[in-house]
Amino acid sequence: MEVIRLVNQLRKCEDDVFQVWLCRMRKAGYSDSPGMNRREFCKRFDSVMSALEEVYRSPQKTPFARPDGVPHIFAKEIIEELSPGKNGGLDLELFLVYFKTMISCIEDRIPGINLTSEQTTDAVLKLRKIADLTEMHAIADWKRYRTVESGTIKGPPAQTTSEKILGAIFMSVGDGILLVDEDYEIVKANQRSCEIYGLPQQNIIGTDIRSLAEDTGAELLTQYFEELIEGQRKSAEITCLYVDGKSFPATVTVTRSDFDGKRHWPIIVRDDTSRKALEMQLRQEKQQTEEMNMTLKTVMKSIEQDRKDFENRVAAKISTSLLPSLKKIEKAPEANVRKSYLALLEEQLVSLTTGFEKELDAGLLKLTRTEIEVCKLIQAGCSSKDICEAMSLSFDTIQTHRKNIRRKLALNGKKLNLHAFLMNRNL
Amino acid sequence: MWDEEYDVVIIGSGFAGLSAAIEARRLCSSVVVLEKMAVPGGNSIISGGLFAAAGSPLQAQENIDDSPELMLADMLAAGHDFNHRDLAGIVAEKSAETLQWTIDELGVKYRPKLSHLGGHSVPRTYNTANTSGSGIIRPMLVKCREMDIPIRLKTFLSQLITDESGAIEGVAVIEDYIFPNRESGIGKRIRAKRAVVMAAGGFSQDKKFRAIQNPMLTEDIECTNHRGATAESLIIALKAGAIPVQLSMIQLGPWASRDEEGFGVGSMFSMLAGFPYGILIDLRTGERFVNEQADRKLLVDAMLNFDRESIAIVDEMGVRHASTLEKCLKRGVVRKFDTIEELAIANQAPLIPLKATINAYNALIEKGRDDQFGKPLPKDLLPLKHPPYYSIRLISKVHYCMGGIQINTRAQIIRIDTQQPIGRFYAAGEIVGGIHGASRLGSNAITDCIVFGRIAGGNAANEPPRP
Ligand SMILES: Cc1cc2nc3c(=O)[nH]c(=O)nc-3n(C[C@H](O)[C@H](O)[C@H](O)COP(=O)(O)OP(=O)(O)OC[C@H]3O[C@@H](n4cnc5c(N)ncnc54)[C@H](O)[C@@H]3O)c2cc1C
Repeated sequence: MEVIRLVNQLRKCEDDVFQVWLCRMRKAGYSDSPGMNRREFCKRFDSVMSALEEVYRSPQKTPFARPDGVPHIFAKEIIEELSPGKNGGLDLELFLVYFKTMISCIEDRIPGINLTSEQTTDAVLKLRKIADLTEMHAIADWKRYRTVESGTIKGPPAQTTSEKILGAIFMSVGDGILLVDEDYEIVKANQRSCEIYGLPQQNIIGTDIRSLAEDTGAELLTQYFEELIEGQRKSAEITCLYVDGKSFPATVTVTRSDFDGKRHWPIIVRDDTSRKALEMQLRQEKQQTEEMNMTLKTVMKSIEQDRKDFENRVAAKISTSLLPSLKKIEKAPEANVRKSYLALLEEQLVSLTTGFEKELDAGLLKLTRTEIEVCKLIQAGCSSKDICEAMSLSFDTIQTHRKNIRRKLALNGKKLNLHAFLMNRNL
Repeated sequence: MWDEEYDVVIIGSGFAGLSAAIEARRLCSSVVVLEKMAVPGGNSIISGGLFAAAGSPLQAQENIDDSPELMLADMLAAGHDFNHRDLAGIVAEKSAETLQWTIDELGVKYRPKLSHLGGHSVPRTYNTANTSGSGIIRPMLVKCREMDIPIRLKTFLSQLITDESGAIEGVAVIEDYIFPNRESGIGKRIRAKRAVVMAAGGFSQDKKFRAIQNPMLTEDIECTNHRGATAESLIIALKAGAIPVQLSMIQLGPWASRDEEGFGVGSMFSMLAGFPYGILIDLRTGERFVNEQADRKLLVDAMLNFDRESIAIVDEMGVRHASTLEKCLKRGVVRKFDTIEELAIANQAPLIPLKATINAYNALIEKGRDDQFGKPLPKDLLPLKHPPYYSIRLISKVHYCMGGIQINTRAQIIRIDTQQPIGRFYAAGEIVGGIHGASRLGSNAITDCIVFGRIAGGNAANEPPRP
């Protein structure tokens, strides 16, 4: 299935992804940091892949849409896999840098896989959601790991842990991260969130988070702040406001994390403008296809209608003109009267065929059935001999037919051969 | 040769750049604003939003007698007559109409009460409703969006391009620029069919450059500006032949807090409440040492003298004028005490001299005597005796560059060798030098930026288009 193909393809380029990742990490100034080796990378990569498989396999189990915000177990697996305790002293800041860089390296690979654009968007979204959850957990669980492992990890004393959490949140790039206090004021904001809202640090700090969203979004945030219990998280799509008053779609993931005896809400903000644009494009393409189908249907219908009209016209002609003429011929006593009726009938028949792509020849109508048969064979390019065989008639008979046909078609004395004449006629 | 073309190209998205853009766009069809940072607004969006205007509606309402002449006289007094008078005169002259323009054209909301800032003879300072420069920058950005003026972020002016005649024909920029990394981004050339406007702001954050201009401003002195207030654009303009004016005149802000970074929320507290309605104390002596309402230069000089450590004290009546009080208390920038005794202990100030200082100051006010330091004591000023009391610990921080490049009254940049305008090249805002002389009065920068921003934008758009 598609999913297996996607994940397999991604797994196949694991080595490449690792190299790109290493390169980017070095560029960012991390060269010999702990855990920056292939073995650790593969572990992280693997668990993201399994998570991806999991999300695809059982979409209904994914936690993202669930109102209670309790995450599904696989997110925890990644955390445990990547937990600072197991990595022997890898701190949260490094972890976030490693992890985020890796996710963006993987994401860059997805468009290279031969998927429909819809599938691509879907895969990217799924990957990002996994990343989001993992990150939230990493930050939220950090404290727990730190206390569990405090005997083994050298580092600043316990009371600066909360500063450390803030520092790490603050450091991590990629998505906007805000920390909101009990007055709903932003007390920490990373560089990306500044860019998302178009406000410098100095302005965004101290701003009421609700003033950065449109009314319904602001209400929803207030509701989250009131409802969330510690450690719980909720996610929603809301409309936010850029500094120039323009609104943009964003996904906010709010969690609650209490420290220093106060409630705080770390919020991850993602600007969905480009995702929405992509979705919009997909929707438009779909709509276009639908419109095309509709047009085709109408065309088919009108062709059908034309055909019916034509049949009606023929039927009407037959009953109004042909049948009465035939009756008259039947009754006409004199040969030359009959003849003139016959001429009339011929005319009617010809007029009946107007509208045909190729109009019938008056001459062709005069041919007998056998003669028409002969014509068809001539038209098909048969020699007289072939025709004799095909019709089981003698050569002479065929020659007589040919003569009669030429006469009826008024070709006598002309240099045109029968085959050429018949080429474009309807028989 | 050119990747893109606009009628007018503007460098910088602060007050000066955006007013130039709005004015230019009314007169020609394509205007672009280039901004090197990832967010728009420069120093302007983080500023205090204080706007000085002589002859404003609020002054009329409060029966305050003011005129452009008086405002100019105040500017010259603070500037020690280093000011380029013709330019300073235009700022004062156009101050009220420009304030009105922000109200009528942009829909800026101001508080209904004037402030009296140090060095101004009369209250003439408007406060934006949200007590921040963003109260003006945001409406400007909205206007730009409505007028179809793109603000291109992370786009760094790296070079000016001139034609054979020496006029400016366009700019080389770096897109996807990550400040301050010179290696980042991709190069591009943008042609300006009519003109280029330099509105790139000051260089207070450029520690190396400012120390070259004034060696006393060492690296460890803090700064109120945004990170991007660096000198490279000024240098680019100088390379193109612009005249440097008074680059060593760099202003420190006396009102900033020791307990937060940059301008923060404390500066506005001192400016609006601490200095006008309170007193400034030397912590070692417990005494006043200066007119709290003097202009910034006098204050800073007095505060730096003898390595003074200063705090400002104000009481319950005075803090009513402080728009940022709540944030100050929350962040621990301002502290609140029920008695002067507690305040003295917490600040480690000598109690007896401090009490004596306060009593003497209160007596001046109650008896209507003149202050030995020359602080104006208006009739509505109250003695400091209404608890609780508030204090803020002060430290001077680098704040504003009076110096910059020279322009004429049409905002044209002057060439150093010919003393003639450089063709199709305009400037406005803090990058311009000489308007404020040795010291700029508080709330005059916004006026200056918008007045000359509009002049520069209008004249740039009126240049005949190149074929
Ligand atoms: C904290 C603070 C508070 C203040 N409060 C007040 C106040 O209340 N009242 C008052 O009158 N004045 C105040 N001032 C002073 C006043 O705000 C500034 O002088 C004014 O904002 C300068 O505006 P500007 O447009 O010239 O420059 P800025 O607003 O600084 O804008 C210049 C822009 O140009 C960009 N730029 C620079 N070089 C390049 C390049 N090479 N390529 C692309 N872009 C470039 C910068 O990144 C910046 O965004 C305050 C200043 C500060 C720092």
